[in-house]
Amino acid sequence: MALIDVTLPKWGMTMQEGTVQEWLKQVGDTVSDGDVIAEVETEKAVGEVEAPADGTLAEILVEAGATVLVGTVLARVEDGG
Amino acid sequence: MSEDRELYFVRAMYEGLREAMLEDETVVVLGEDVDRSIIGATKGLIEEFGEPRVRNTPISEATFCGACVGAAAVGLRPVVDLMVGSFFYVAMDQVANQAAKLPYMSGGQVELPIVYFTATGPSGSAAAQHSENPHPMLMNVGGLKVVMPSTPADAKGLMLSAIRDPNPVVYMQDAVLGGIKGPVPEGPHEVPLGVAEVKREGSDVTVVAIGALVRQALAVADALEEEGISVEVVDPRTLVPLDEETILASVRKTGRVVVCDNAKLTCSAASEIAAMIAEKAFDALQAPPRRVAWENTPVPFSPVLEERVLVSRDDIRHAVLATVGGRVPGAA
Repeated sequence: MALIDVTLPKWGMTMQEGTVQEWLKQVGDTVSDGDVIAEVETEKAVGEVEAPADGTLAEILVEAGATVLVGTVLARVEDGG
Repeated sequence: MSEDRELYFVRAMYEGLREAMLEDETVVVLGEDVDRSIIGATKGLIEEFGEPRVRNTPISEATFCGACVGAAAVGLRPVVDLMVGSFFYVAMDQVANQAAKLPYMSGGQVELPIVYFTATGPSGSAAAQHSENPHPMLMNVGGLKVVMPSTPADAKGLMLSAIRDPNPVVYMQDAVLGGIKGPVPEGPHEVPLGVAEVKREGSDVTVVAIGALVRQALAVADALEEEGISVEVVDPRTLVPLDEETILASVRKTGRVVVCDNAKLTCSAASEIAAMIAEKAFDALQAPPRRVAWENTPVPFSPVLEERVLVSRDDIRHAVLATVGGRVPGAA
């Protein structure tokens, strides 16, 4: 089992940061690879952050309402492998 | 305004564009994927104004920049989204030889109210062919107005003014500014072309800053205030025509100036402004004007090298400290 970082992707060439709108999963929830676990607002649209693996949402590092740079670790998923 | 309404910079651009399209049905928007908007400034326009007025184009800057010349010549007011500042190089003949020159060469028989807008400059490892800031080159073309807003309010106001202007106008949106938020007036808010703004008052040194560097200069000014140095920050907002009066008035007040440009040093807007100041306000200067700009190299892909090449807050800070000569005005 390993902890996998969930980072804020760079959704567009000019994107610098995003504001977390809502966590759709809570710490302890089971997630599947590709599940949308958070919504993040940028200047263009609200994007969906996906779980990078099957497992459990282990940590949430950036709360809703916070604005962070592209590449920031938003959460960690403990994978089931 | 009854309350502060905060908008993203690119959505402020959209509001300016929308106001222009509402008031004048000859305003049309062209560009690659303007229906869904890659950068964000045209998102929502096709739904409101429909397809003849909002038109996707092929991937050919020469074609759509040149099409604007013809369209404007027969009575439309085209607004083009080039998406990336580097792409001006692809469109250069149509912009520099045609749009910029035909009103003059025809003795005014043709008026070309075109706006060429784009996200421009570095955006974080976009690499050399997607990170150029060509505003210095475009300032030198002759026949083009050039604007470069630094706040969402100015973004909206300059967009509307640029579209209302009867000349070809280049509108540069520093790419990193797209997602910044700021207060934006409702309705047809206009910022006149050719008018600079003192973004922060100060008394020891003038920092003229362009585009994305205005925010950096303001941050440096705040930090230096704590150290007893009072920095005045002037934002030209329009590069052509340049508001020399506002810049010179500030330099005459402080006696020292640093000009920061988000472009390579050689022939930068900073170079032009510094030379103009030296010519016209030499008597007021206590130190030579200083320029802060990028290294004269292609912008690297490597994040470490990119940071090295571009202008940092430290670069601005060091230039200001050097200009005040190591002496800290106001300190005991």
